[in-house]
Amino acid sequence: MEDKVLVLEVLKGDQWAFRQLIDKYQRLVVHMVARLVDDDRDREELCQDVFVKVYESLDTFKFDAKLSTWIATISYRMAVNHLRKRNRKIEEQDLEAVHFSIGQEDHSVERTDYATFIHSLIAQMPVNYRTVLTLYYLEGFSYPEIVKVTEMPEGTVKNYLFRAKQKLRALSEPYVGKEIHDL
Amino acid sequence: MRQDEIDQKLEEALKRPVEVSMSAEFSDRVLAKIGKREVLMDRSVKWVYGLAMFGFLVSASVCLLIFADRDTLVYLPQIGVWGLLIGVMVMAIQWLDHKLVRKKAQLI
Repeated sequence: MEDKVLVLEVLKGDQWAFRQLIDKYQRLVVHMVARLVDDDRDREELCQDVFVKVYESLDTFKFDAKLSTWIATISYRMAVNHLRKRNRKIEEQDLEAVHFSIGQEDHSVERTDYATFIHSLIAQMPVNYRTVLTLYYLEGFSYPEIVKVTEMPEGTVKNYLFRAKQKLRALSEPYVGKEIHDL
Repeated sequence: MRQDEIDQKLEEALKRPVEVSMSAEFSDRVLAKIGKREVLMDRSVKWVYGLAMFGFLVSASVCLLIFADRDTLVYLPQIGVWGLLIGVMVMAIQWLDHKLVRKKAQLI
C-alpha cells in the first residue's frame, strides 16, 4: 500500500492500516534505536514509544517529505532524548578521541565475522557518527534526507561519513582475511 | 588483500542489517500502549468536563444568590453581551471533541 493511502487510512481509524505501517517501518525504527541505545531492555520499549508518537502525530504529517524521513526524525529525536535522560554524552565528540576496544586480548576478532566486528566498532563511535552511518548505509537515505533528520549541515554529514569509514578501514584492515567466517 | 577489495568488504559490512530481535507481538504492544494512553486521555477529558460543569453550577448558584431577591429581569439584556463568548466557547469545545475525543476513539 502506498504511504499516502496508508496514512489516510490510519487517520480514518483503520487499525489494520496502522499495523501495516508498523510492519513497513519497523526495520527503520529498530535500526535507528538499536544503533543509538545500548541497553537491550530499553530498545524495544523505545521502538514501541516511537510508533505511539508516530500514531499521535500522524495528523501533523503534511507529505512534504517521505514518510520514512519523518519516522526516522522521530526515532532519532526520541533516541537522543532517551540518551539525555540517561545522562549519556551525546554532544559532538571527536572521533579521534575515542579509544576503540577491538578485543585483541581474547582474539575475539578472529572468532567473529568481519561484519559483526565492524558493527562492534560502530557501536563505540559517537552518536552522530552512528546516526549518519545507519541512515546512509542501512537505510539508503540521501544526504538531504540525513540533513532533514539530524539537522546537521550537509558538509558535516559528508565529513562524518568519510571519517567514520576511514576509521573503520584503518581499524579493521589488520584483521581482514583473518576471520573464520566469510560475509 | 587489495585496497578496493577491503573497501568492498567494508561497504558490505556497513550495509548488513543490525541483528536485533523484537517480540513477535510488537505491533500488539504498540496498540495496547496507544489504548492505555487513550484511557488516560479520556480520564483527563472527563476531568475537564467535570470541572467545567462544576464551574457552571457555581456560577449559576452565585447568579441565583444575587438575583433571587430582585423582582425584575432588567439585567437579562446585559447577559446577551456574553453571547459571543459563549459561541466561542462552544466552538472550542467542538474543536476539542473533534481533535481529542472522536479521532482517538476510532482506532481503539
